[in-house]
Amino acid sequence: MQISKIQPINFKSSNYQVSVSKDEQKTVKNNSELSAKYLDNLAMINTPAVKKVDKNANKNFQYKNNLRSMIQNNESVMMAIVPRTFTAEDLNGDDKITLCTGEKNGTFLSAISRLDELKADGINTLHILPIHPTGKKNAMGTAGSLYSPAKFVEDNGDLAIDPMLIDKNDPRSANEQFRAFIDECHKRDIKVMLDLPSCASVDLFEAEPELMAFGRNGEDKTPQGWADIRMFEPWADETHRELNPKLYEMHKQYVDACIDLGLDGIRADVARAKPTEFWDKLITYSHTKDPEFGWLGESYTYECASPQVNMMYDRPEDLLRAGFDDYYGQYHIFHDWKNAKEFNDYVKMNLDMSHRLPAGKSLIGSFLTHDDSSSMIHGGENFCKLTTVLQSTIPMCNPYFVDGFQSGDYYDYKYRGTKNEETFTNNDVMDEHRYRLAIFNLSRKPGGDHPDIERVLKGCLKMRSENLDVLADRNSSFIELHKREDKKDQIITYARHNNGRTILVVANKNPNRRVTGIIEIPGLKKNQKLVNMVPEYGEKSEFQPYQNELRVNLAPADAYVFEIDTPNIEKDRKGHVFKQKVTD
Amino acid sequence: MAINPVQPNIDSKKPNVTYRDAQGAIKTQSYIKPLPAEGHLVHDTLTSIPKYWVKDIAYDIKAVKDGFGGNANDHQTGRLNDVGLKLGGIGIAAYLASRTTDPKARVMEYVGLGTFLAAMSLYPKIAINTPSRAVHGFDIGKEYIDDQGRKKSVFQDSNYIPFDMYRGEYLDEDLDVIGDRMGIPRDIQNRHDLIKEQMRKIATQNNTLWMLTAGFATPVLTALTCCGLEKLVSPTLELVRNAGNNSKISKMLAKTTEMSEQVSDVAENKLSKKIETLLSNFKGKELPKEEMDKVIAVLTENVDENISRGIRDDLAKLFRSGNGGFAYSESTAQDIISTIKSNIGCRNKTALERTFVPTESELKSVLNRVTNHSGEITSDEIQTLKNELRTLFEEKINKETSISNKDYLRGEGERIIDSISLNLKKKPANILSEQAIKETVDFAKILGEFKQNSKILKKCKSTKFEATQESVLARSYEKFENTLFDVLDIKYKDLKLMRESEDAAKKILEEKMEVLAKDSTKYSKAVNKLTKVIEEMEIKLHGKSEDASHIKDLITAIENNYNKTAKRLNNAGGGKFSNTIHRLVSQDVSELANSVDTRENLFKILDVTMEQNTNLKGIDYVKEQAKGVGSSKRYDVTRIIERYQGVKDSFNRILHTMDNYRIAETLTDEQKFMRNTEYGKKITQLGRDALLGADTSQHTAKLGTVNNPELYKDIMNTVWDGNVSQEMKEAMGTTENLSNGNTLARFQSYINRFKQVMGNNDIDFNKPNHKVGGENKFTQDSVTRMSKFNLVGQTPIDFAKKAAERRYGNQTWLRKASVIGGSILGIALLSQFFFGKITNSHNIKKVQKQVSDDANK
Repeated sequence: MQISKIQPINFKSSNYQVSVSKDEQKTVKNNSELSAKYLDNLAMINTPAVKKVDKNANKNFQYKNNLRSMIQNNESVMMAIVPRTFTAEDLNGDDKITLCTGEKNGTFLSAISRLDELKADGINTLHILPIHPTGKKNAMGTAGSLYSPAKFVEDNGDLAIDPMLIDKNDPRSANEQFRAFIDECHKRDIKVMLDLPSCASVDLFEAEPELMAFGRNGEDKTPQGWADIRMFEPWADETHRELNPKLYEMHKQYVDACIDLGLDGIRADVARAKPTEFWDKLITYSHTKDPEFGWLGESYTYECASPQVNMMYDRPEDLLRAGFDDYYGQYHIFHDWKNAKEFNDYVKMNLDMSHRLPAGKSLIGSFLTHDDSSSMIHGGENFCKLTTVLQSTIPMCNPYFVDGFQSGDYYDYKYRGTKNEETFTNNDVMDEHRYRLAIFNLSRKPGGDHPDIERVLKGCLKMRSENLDVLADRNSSFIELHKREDKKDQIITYARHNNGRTILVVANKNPNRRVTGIIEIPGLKKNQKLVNMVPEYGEKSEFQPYQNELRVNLAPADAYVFEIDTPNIEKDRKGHVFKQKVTD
Repeated sequence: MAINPVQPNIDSKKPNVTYRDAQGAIKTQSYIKPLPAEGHLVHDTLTSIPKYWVKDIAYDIKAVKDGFGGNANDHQTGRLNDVGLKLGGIGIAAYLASRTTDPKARVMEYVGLGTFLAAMSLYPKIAINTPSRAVHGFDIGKEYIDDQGRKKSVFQDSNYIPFDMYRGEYLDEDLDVIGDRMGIPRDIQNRHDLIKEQMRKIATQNNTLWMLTAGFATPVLTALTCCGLEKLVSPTLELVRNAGNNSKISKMLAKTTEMSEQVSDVAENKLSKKIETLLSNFKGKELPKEEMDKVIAVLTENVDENISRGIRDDLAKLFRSGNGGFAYSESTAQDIISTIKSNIGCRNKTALERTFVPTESELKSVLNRVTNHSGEITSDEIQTLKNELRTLFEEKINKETSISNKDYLRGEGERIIDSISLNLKKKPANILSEQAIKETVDFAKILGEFKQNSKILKKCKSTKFEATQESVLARSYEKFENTLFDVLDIKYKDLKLMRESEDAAKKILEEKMEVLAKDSTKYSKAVNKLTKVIEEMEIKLHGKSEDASHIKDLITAIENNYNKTAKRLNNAGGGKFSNTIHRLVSQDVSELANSVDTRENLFKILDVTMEQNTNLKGIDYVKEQAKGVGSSKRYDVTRIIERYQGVKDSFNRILHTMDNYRIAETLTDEQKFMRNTEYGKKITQLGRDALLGADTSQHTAKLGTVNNPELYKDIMNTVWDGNVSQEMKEAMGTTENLSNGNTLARFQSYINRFKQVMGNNDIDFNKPNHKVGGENKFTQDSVTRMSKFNLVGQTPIDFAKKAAERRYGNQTWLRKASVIGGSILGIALLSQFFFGKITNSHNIKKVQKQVSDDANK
């Protein structure tokens, strides 16, 4: 009996469609029964040659991508990971991975080992930072920037994958190993979004000039401040707004490859680098293949003009109109906002914008991204917890975290700026942006010394998942509450209401001092019991409910979530009730 | 077994074609286009400019508020710089204005600030933006309102240009149209890219040009503009000040006319309250010298020295005790002992001191018997004291054994007693009685109101007449100067020569006047302009009325102030204030009256043509003439007359001089014949020399003809014969109407008076006993040295030379500034033709016909 080697089958391909006669079917059936018995016997022996597979389990596992709907319903909970550091093994504690000493960087297959951890935390979507081979020339760091790819797609249409991410001891090809990882994610009902770089490395720039942007005098177009990458040229003729066919085709093949691998969506790096027409065409194309293929655009805020030379201005609304499902927004400057009003105004601004767009557009909880300094810098562990509570409760938001956040990683690498003998680029200096997730070098697995953040994170996400109708549903309102005696306006407070249920959020924006104040909550009763729905942390805060108001004494960066009995709060706070667009 | 999950909705991928082989540009008409930019370009129109100006101010105010609150954003902080610049400028202008009393200079400080700020804004608009727009087809100074409502310059930062705001709503904002204006062909690839590149480049080049030139151009433009604006500011200021001044004069006339002559009607004022406070502490006591000095200082503050002397004398009398006593205090005993000791010489000093220096207790006991401790010691008491001292000394003399000669001792004793008496009498007792206080306070009330009125009247006088900047006379002088130089067509090169020497000034003046006199039309225009200036001066001084006159009112108000004050003082204290009254008016208060009643009479006074009272002779005439002489009132009023005369007669002299040249051109043949003789030429030349350059001294010295009185007479009779050219007559008008103030009659009367006064100067010629006219040898107003000085006025040569110095300086500066300004403007204009050159034009590709292969497979 020939045991067929387990091969991945591409049911999509017509090559695999085989027709058989009834006799042949009967023969096949008899043979398979015998095989099954043989296999069962083998399984009884302590050294099975093959593993017994639960066919029922496979038959029941029907994965269907619904990332787009999740994003539109604010149900996606994302974590950004860097495969080459996700499961890296830094044996000597110097924060860098030196392969020649036996240390190991992360791979797709090793990454599987942490999926259960993420699942347990409440993560249901992964944002995989770029996985392509990095450019060597003018490179940042000794491994090259993740956003400086030497290749996007192979000639056969497969994704170009960094060999470092491949387990050499595993016989599967790069794409197969990547696919295996994706499948494991899907098994755990974790969606996978792949990061699509916006620009090319110098190597790619030199190899494929027809894709690249040039000045009129032949000079390359380097985005100001990013010397290791070059701009693509999206236009064949900008004046007539005709797209560059080669560049578009490359991206189209990229999308094909992603969908073929089972990826659920794409995160477009620096989405403004390409025009709306480009995205509209590409995203529409992707939906013809997978209507649930999700698109996250890296876009922050409206710019009249671009402050960065050789880069387009940022226009989030245009990108959302062009097809992106969500965008980054400006929560990453939350620590710079002076008061609660700025925060509330930003939330309202996005809710307002949603009414100008097709229903279902959203944001991510971009309080921390890989381009930002660690949240620990802005207020320590409690600040991290505060932002977790906020992004779990604000409207029009899919919570988003960066690997390492959950344990308070400062992203302050010891090797930063030092020379390294082991390098995979033309640069032997280990460049890194201080306090930011490492993307230029082979570095340690992200993680810090504050595991309590993960406790709060888990609790918040669990709370959220149990209250999606109030916290995520587009029908749920965002109600601004009036306050008194909060002179510096540091108390962030709002209510979410849907179907008669009200969830109250009270937080202290200030990570350094306590604040007191009185929150006017129409309909609140004196005997309202206040049970914190999220894990407690930090110093003790005090609450005193009165008729129609709540007196608070909040510890630094403290945040609380209560369910309160105020069924008429929307009516009572008329004029201060805001909602996302529900339907078109 | 399959671990790959089934996704039934996924479409399978198609076989690959390498992306490098993709062909055909992809058209995008049906795809989502970017939204229009949220901001917009600013379109300056007549209606929008004020709106944006107000909005900008409101934004700046908010920026200041937010800045102080620590909530300002970057843009607001940047605007604070502009706010600071403006506020700081106003502060500096205010400070500089406070440092000068010249009203025009004060206004020009603010005008200068405003002009500077305007120049900063206008220079780039005029010299850079406008030419750039003309040459390159777009406005580099365009502004836009961003999505936050903030106003910014489009091309300020070449890396941050909101090109998508160029939506083509206006031709100036259509990139294609701009490209056409730049000469960029329509059929090139990425045309908009090239257009934007050019716009960016041209804007950067122009911004650089602006930065390089603004440092020179702005101050030069400011200065040139200020020079021009000065011509607007001066007349406007003059108009406003004069109107205000005339109104003040009218009010003061009414006020001083209504002034009561009774002390009881005079209200308390600041001065009287101050005096009362000072004196009330010393009621019934000796007023110390320091306090008395304080009182005098307060009362004489802001009063001329003449009146101050009167006040001091009257106060000294007032404070002196009614009993005629002498100062007596606790220290008197010690003073007497000191006096005794100082009168004892070295000879027999010990014995004399033993005999004549009493102990303090001895002396006090004597004084207690003599005085009643009222703070003064009378003459009688001093006499008693002397007797007592004699008795005391006699006792001691008898006891003194070291000196046997008792008569000697008695003699010394008498000498000492006399010196004691003398010393006591040196200090009159200033006992301040209640009456004295009341009288002093009344004195202060009267003086207080007098001073208040004087201050205002002085200001009115100064604004009209004084030799200060921007007075009516000073402005008229400047206008006359400018007009004269214009009508004489004096050029820059002439100014350069004239300012260097009087000879050059004379030569040029002669040449110019000769040339002007030859042309009737030009001469007529010239004298019309000059007489117009004089006419304007008269109207500004007097107002335009046949009878009323602001100057008449001013003189009357001044006289009322003095007269009423004198009468009040007279009523207040009998003869107690006689010194002050004398200094004020130098006249019997019962005879006090106003000297001017009509405009006609005023002109006569000003022109010194008022008829003298010929009925009075001898000492009566002298007394009549002496009335008011030496008084402050006289001084105040005379000052007006003299200042007026000095300026008016200077103008008259110039007109007369010019007319002399004109008359020479219009002589009859016979007259010409006479003039052409050697003697005639000599008279003409000497006459012209006299007209142009003779000062008072030279006229007094008979123009250097002391050995030839006949020549002198002929000169005076020829030049000052009272004839006036036809053009001058027409210019001045033959009407007797005084409303314009500059009648022909007044001019002719000036000429005649000149001959009369200067010609009949009682100065000896070389020939003995030779006098020229005039019987009355007593002092007359019309022939004082001052009136002669004013009659002669400023010589035209001196007038012209000083004027040339001023004008030359101004014009030199203007020329230099204009050259600099013009050069900068020229460079800025020329530069435009070098900006915006398209480099590497071979890289510009034409549009290729694309294979219409839509890659939307």
